[in-house]
Amino acid sequence: MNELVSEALEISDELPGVIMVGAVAVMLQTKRSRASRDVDIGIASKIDREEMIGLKYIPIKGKRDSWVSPRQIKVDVYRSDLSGIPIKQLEKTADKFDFKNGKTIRCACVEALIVAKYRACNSRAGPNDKSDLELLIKKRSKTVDWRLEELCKDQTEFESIKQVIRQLQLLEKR
Amino acid sequence: MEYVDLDLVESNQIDRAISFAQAFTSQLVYSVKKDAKKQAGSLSTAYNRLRTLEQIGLVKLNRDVFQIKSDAVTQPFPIRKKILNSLLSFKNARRFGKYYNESDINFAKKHLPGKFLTTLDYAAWELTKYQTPSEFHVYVEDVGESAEFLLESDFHEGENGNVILLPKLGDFENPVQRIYLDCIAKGGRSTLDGIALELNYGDSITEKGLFPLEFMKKVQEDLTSCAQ
Repeated sequence: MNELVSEALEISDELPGVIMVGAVAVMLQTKRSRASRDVDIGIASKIDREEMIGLKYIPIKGKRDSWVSPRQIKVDVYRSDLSGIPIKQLEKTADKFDFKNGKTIRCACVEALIVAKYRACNSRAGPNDKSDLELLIKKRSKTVDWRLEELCKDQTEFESIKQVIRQLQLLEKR
Repeated sequence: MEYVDLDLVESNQIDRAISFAQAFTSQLVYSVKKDAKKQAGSLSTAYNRLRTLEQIGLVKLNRDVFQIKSDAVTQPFPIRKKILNSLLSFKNARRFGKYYNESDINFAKKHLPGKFLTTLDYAAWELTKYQTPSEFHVYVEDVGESAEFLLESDFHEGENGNVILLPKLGDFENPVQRIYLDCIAKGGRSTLDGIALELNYGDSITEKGLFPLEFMKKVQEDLTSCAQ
């Protein structure tokens, strides 16, 4: 199993209610592995810093909410929103992935990931945002559902995202 | 297999096309009619420029829609010149998979004939331990021969495999420099691998790329927090 996915399983066990929102979510939703160095999680429940320290997570100095897990993997925590999508809403629309060992990972739905990556591309555009958005659209655009419209801030954003999806689909058909 | 001979593409034609491409760095996708025509002056010039860029692997184009490798076109001239061979190799890459997981990569690492140089994910991971790797890109002496071997070993060729064969094009005298240039040419998350290589093996890299300050800062912070 991919190292980051097995780390995500451990984290999901230790911190109930967490939602995977970064590389792990993209990997699970697209079934494609992807290079990364950290696990990004959304926490809507009341797991505070002290509780995390008690679970042997070490805060990284000088960073807003970044940690090193007990297995030495960097974990970035989002507590209020992910690119403007409230964590509560991510929780409501999250998908569940069951594994053979009976464990479960909850991760942001494809629609939320598309909206978050689209917004990131239009603002600060990190190195992974464009390629993640492309991968999500390539692998999952046919299954995008009503949640996309619900997660967009308005009709204009919804139409713009639909347009990008159509354009990327056309490029894939080359 | 024959590849585009870069000497046959007039260098001023490439230069003009790249100058044109530098105007398209903010969006994910563009429209030829709405965006490129204005920049090029006419629709036919826009398509000419885009086709030149497509030939060297800097653009994906289908009808009115195009996408530019903005990480690569914004590099300084000496780097842009050097990454052309990387781009061309990627354009002619062949992708294979059997079980579509890490076992495919382990098999290729052990048995693939004609391996010349591993690059991108796995090479960067070996050198920097920065990002966990996902795809196995490897330069081989003869793509046809290595592909034949994989097919005989029940691999399938397609878009989803994790074993990627690259034709050996360009300069390989300094492997670290080549891997670094490949990371720049690939762009996206490989940019971070390129930065990690520069931070760790700066002395072996003679031509350095241009990266956004926030990416440099991120990799530096990540490497520091990892070392703590």
